[in-house]
Amino acid sequence: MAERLDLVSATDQEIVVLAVEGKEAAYRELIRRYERPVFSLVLRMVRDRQLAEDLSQETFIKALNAIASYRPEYKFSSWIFKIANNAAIDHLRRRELNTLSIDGSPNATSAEDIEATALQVGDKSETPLAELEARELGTAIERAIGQLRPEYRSCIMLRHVEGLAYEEIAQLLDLPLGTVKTYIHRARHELRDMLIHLRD
Amino acid sequence: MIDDPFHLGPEELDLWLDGRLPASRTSHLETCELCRTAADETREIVLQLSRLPKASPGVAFADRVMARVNTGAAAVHLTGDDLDAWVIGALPAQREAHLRGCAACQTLANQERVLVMRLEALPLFDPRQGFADRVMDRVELPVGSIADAWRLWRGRVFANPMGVGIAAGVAVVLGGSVAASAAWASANQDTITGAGVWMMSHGQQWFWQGVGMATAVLDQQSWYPTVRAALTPGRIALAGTAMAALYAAGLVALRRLLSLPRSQVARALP
Repeated sequence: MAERLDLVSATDQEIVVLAVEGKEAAYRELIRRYERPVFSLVLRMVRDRQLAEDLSQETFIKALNAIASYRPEYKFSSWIFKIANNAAIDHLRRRELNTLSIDGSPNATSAEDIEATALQVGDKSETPLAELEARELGTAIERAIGQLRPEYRSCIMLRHVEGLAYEEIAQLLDLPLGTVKTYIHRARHELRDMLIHLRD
Repeated sequence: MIDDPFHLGPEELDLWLDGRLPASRTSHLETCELCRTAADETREIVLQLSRLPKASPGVAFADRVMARVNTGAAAVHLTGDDLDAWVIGALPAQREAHLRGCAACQTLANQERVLVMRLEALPLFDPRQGFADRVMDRVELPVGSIADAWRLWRGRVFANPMGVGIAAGVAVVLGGSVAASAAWASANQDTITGAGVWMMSHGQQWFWQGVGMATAVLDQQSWYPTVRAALTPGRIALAGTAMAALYAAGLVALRRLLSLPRSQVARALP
């Protein structure tokens, strides 16, 4: 219990030191601190609960298995957000390449193939998970965020949901500071337009 | 003085005050009482003017002026950077003045504030229960000691019912085998003793026969005398050292090969 209390009040850097020494409680404390922010960022990026969970899990596994390589001069939060964002962006790029037509794969030659490869639009809302997702991401602002380009989406999330400074975001995303500012300003501009449109 | 081309004109008096009057005209000044008086009077006026007291304006004078100056910047609507500054209350006075007078920018700024408030109020989502356990199942904890390894193994095995079942099964099979062996051995001591004696006598015989045959075959090889002559104690020691170094290098290389690919880590590092 005493160790638990110490971990709760310890800084990220102190916990990382304990994790590098092999303390399982330190690993669990890092997961406890960042599971919600990381999962929320990834969910808003990929907009699929199950997928977000898988990618968040991969994020933590990758980060914690490489904890000895973590450089303490950087914030742990920046490191984990960077891995999470890379995972989400990589997935979105892959999905873009593998996008199936709603009418079935262009390679499908028979009626069965076309039916098997077509996207089942109506199916999703029937599962409890999809219902939960629709509730979570169904508000006007969440829908508007979902329509932003992925680059804008991650910048705006990191800035206004996670409260990171422009400089931190630029470092985390390997982008020039000016580009990050432009992305965030354009994202806000688009969001304003979309929300006004929705109000009207 | 002005009509007389030899007297100093106003421009020449300025040059004299600056110390740049040509020598030919300075000599006239030294000899002409009229010009001398005019020059002294001019210098006195300039001196008095330079000693006049300087009044300072009130605080924020520059801001008050700039707020009413119709420069290009003031006419431009608020930019993204301005809106950022306005949201945190750090908009410069000049841009603040523009905002006060521009209905379009006021609307934009209010929308911006509402948007930022809504973004900052977005909730965080929880992953499914047991997220940490699912992650920890796939995380390799560094093992520093045998006690750590035991704790890790125990944690992994006893974390789920299937692990407990497998561990119990292995323990039953191993324990049962050992117990059965011990029971059979105690019941058949004569058989074991007889087998041991037979194995010792025949084993020794087979071993020495094998050594003798190998030596005979080696001795018949054409290269054997050369190799035997080359193998001095120093060379044997050198070869042994080289083999040990090679073995150590192999271990290091294997350790590097088995470690986590660095490229994956480097990509994620800030």
